[in-house]
Amino acid sequence: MSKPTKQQIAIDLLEWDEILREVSLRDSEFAERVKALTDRSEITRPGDALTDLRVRLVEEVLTDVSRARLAAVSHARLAADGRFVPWPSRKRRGPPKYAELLLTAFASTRHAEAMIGDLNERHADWCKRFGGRWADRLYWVRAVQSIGPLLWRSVVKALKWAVVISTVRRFLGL
Amino acid sequence: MEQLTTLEQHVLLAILGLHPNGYGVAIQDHIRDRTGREPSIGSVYTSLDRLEEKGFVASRQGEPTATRGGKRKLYFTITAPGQHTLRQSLQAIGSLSRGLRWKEAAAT
Repeated sequence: MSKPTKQQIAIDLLEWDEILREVSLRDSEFAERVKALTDRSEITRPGDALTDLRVRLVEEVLTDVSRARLAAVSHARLAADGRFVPWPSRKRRGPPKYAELLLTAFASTRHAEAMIGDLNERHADWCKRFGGRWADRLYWVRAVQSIGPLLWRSVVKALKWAVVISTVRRFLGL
Repeated sequence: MEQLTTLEQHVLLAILGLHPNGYGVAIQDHIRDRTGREPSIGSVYTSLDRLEEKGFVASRQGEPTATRGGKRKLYFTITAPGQHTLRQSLQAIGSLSRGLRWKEAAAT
C-alpha cells in the first residue's frame, strides 16, 4: 500500500460524515483542526495512517459525551482508560465481489440490481457493527442462503417454457 | 381464487405496512420483527418476482446510494388485485380459525 499524501488524508477526514454529523463544529473550524493535525503528523505505518489520524482527531476535538457515542461509529474502540485505540479489522470495505457475481448469475434480471444493492446495504451496516471480516462472512452466508430459492425459481420458469414449447410443437405437428 | 403462500402473504402485508417505502431490506426487517423468522433476501425477491408477475405488486426505482454500491432501490406497492387477493386469503384463514375448541383439541 502506498503512503497517502497529507492532502488525501485531509480529504478523507473531511469526508468522514459520521464525525461531521456527531461533532457540532462549524465546517471551517473542523477544517482548521484537520489541517493542524495533518501538518504535524508523522506517518510511520502507511496502512494505519488514516485510522491513527482519525483516532487523534477524535481525541483532540470531541467532548467526553460525544467520545462515547462515537465509539460505535468510528474505526476505533474505546479502551478502558478512555482513550481511542485503532481497530484495523473495523475498516470499511466493499462487499465480496465473487459473492456478488454468484448472486447476479442466479437472480432474475429485473431484480438483480436491487437485490445486490440490498445486500450491499446490509454489508455496510455489518462493517460498522462487526468489522469487515465478519461482514464479508455474513455476506457470503446470506448470498449462499439466497441461491436455493433463486435457483428453484429459474428451474420452474424453465419448465413452464418447456411445457409451452412442447405444447405448441405438438399442436403444429412438428 | 389465486392462492398465496405464507411468505407471499407476509411480503404483501409488509409492503402494505411500509407503504410507500417498502423495499427489500425494509420488507425483510418488517417480517423478522413481527414474525421472528427472517426469510433470505433470495426468498423475498423470489416472492416479489412471482407477485409482480401475477400483477399483485408494482415496483418503481429509487435513487442509487453510496452505501448500496451505487445500486438503485426498488420500491414495491400493492395493487388493487393484490389487496383483493390478500384480503380473501386472510379471510379464508380467519374463517378456518373461527370457533375452534383449542383446549378440547389439545393432546394430553
